[in-house]
Amino acid sequence: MSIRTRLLLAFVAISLGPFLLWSLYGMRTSVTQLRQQSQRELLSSTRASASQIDQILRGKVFEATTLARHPAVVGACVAANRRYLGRDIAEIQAERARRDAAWIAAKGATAEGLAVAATPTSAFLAAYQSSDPGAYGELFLTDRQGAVIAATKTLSDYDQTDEAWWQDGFSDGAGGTMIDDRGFDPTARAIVAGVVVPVRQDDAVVGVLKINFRIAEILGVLNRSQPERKTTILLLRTSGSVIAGTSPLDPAVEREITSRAPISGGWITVGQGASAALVAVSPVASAVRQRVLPPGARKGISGERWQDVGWLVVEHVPASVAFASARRLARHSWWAGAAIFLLVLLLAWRVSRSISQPLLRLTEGAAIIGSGDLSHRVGTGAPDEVGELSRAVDAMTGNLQRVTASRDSLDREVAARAQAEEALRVTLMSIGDAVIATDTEGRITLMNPTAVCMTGWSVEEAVDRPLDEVFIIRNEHTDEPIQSPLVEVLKQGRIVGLANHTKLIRRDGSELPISDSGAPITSADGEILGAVLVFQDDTRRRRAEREQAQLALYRLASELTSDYIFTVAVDPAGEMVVDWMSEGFTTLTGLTLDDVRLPSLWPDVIDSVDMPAFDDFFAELVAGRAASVEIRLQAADGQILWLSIKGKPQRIADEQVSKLLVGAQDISARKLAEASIREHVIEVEAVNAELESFAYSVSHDLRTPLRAVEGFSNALLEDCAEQLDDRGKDYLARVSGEALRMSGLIDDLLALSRVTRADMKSADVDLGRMARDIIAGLRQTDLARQVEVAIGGDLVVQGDVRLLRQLLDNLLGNAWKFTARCEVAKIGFNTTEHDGQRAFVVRDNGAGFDMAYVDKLFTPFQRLHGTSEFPGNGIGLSTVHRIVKRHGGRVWCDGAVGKGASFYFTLQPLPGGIT
Amino acid sequence: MTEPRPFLLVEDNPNDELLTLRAFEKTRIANRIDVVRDGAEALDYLFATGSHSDRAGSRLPALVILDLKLPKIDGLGVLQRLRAEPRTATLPVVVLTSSDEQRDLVQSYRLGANGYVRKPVKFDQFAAAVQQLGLYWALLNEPPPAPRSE
Repeated sequence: MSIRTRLLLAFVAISLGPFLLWSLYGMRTSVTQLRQQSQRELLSSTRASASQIDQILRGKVFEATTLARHPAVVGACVAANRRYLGRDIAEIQAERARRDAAWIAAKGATAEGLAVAATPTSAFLAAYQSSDPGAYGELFLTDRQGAVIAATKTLSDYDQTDEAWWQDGFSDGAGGTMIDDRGFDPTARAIVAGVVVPVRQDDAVVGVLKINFRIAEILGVLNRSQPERKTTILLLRTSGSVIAGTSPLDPAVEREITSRAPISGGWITVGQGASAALVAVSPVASAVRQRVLPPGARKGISGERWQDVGWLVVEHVPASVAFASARRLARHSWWAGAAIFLLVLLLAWRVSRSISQPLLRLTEGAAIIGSGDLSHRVGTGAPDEVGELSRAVDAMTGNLQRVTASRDSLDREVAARAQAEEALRVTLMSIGDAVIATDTEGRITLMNPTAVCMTGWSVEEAVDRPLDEVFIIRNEHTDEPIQSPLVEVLKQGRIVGLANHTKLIRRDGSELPISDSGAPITSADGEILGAVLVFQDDTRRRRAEREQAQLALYRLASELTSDYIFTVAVDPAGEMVVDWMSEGFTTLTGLTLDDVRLPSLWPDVIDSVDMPAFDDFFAELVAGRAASVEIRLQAADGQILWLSIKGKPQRIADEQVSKLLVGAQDISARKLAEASIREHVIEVEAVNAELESFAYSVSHDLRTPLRAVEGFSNALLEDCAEQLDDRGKDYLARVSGEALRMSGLIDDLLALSRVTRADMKSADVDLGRMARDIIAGLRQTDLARQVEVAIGGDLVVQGDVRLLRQLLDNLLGNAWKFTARCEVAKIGFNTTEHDGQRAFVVRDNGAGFDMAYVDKLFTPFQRLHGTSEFPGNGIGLSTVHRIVKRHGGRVWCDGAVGKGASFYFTLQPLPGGIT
Repeated sequence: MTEPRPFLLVEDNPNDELLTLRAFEKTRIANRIDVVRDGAEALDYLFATGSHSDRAGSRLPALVILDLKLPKIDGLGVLQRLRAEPRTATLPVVVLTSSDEQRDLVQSYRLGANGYVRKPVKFDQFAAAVQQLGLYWALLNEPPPAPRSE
């Protein structure tokens, strides 16, 4: 779009402004006209209503006049008037007043009053009233003296001459028609007006008829005629009071209307805002005289109190309804105006922008190009005059740039090459690899500082020397000299790598493991100009390789053992870092290599109590000594484990310690067992102490009373023998005997308890000799007995000599006792074999026992024989059982009644000293 | 001939006391036997203190027959006190007790008892033991020389 077109558009937009203003003016005029029209319409509607009401009133008067001519009505009046013929007026008036007083007193409920309401004329009026239900109030008829002669309901007074309407209707015999504007009638409970007409016969007034009708009917007619408008119709008196309305008005609005009375007619606007309304007023131009009693007056005796009033019709329409069309038009016009305005505004903005933007870019572009940036392009590309201008500028800039560029690139190339050469030189001087260059003869032409450092030759000394003198290499394992790779390089003109395990012999004779390679230096046309040798110190790499191999070994080892393994790297400053952990250890602790740093290793997992010992352990290792420690560690699952940790330092050559190898073993089970044993020992000691004190007091106190019993029985026997007969002496002997038996029981029980609590001293004991000793003792007790005793050889055992003596005392004593009734008693004591274990057996051919009771044999106080048969108290075998148990052995037996018994026991070797 | 020095019987049980005295009666021993009924009284008797302060200057008994289980101060306590005192360090003391516990025996000898006799339950044996004990100390055994202060 050319600027011309745009300007054209701009002018069109500008011209729209006045057009809009003109339109606005026209719109406003139309709105005003519409409003006026609405007002006129309302006024004419009100006039129509007023005229309609007038029509209705005329109709009511016509109706009443027609009814007053009805023969029934006229006849009733004529008949009633006959009562007054020939009577004095004063008498008539007196009678009328008397009757009236009676009616008023009875509220019309006198016999006469009821009779009046029941006359045929009353019935006629009632029939008329009910011909249009709801339209009428009461109807009634008086004679020419004002007395009620018929009514649609019972009246409260008889004499109507005092009523204003009657005075108007009779008009002193002239007769008059009027409307009695009564307002609210409590009897009819409605707003009513009454039409009063005279009843005439041949031009003479014979009575007065009054028909009350409801105003609501009239308003109803008006309202029905205009259902679509929200119009409220009021019937007003010219005095300003409201007679009735079709619907209640806002009291404030109603006050505003009535305050303007008397109103002749026309339209007014009332209210503000939402309650604003258009009100039209029109007088009811009735031909009928309308009278009203002023407020407060019940009856108008004299005509002075009557007021003649006119009626006014008021129509009230809310402004929003009345001016709806005008407002709609105004609103639409405003919207349309605003939309057009916005459109024009947008258009104007677009146009101005499309003109200014390319010009702005062109200006900026020119400034950039001016500052030296020839690569800049304005490039608006617009198909207009400005676009063409920018393209011309771009073309000019392009040409300028091409010319400038060729010169610049040359300068840059030269600078770049100089830079690259310098970079190459610096690289060569600073790289970690050693570099030596030679000419085609193998003489050194260049050496970098690393090469100087590694060979031990300075550049000045080395340059121009043959390479073989400076770079001497040998095989690490065989120590054979190796030819320099440069010989091959120069011969073959290709890159040559070095064999593995090469070491460099430095100028001072020391050796360095290296890896190297050589490459030829060739000119652009392929001619060999020399060679370059590159080599590195391999010490570190080889150490790393060795360490990797070691780690693999540790890993392998950790898989073969349940122990946990980890290694710690120690740097020259003594700092320790865990650098490898076996998988088991990682799983156990939940630690990763990132978590662990030494020396304050794992404070979270190691019990703080063990921390100092753990630190000492590492200090010992770093000092180069093997060490071990036991610590508590919290495993990943929260369990506390005891670990036995052993470590060894590792040195390379004679240097300081560089690595620690640490193995850990879970010894929680052992620690637990130890703790449990300790507890057990304490418990046993406590029980023993208790037993000890019990036995002690038994030993002292239980014997004392027995001694008294025995002693005084004895004293009795000695001192009072002559007073006792044989029976008494026998009793005393029994008392004494039982006391002694009990003493024996106590002794045996103490012996049994001593077996349990006595300290055991293990020693070599010759059971054979001991048995012979015992047998010898037994023989002394009964020299008459013939007993064959066979005691085997090699009966030496490890055990407590006192306890073993007690054991044999019991077993051999039993054998001796239970063979007492044998003719030839045989007792044997020998070793035997039981389950591959050495056992001992004591045999006899005595009374034996029933195997059914074998369980009871080793229980204290259990006996299989009566005391009278074989003496004893049943503690001996219990003692035997305990002694064997204390030696860690087992005791059992077999036998049969009358066929002897065999008692076997084993004595397992005891670890010395443990009780 | 002066009256022989008395024996001191330290015994809290009246039955045992009676039986012991009865056993002594059956011997021909003329020594008087004094009886005290607890360890504290025994020390009062021997050191002439407390209720026995009137004994000051009187001779020590020829023999103390000491029970171990005694009220107030037990037999071993008495023995220890006697041996700690130079005047009674060599006084013959024989322990006569119901106990045959090894540790009582060992303790008694360790504290310097001159003998340890277990009271047998059987009266015959008990009487025999007491008689032998009395005879030995009263007749056969040479008492230690009396200290100078006496």
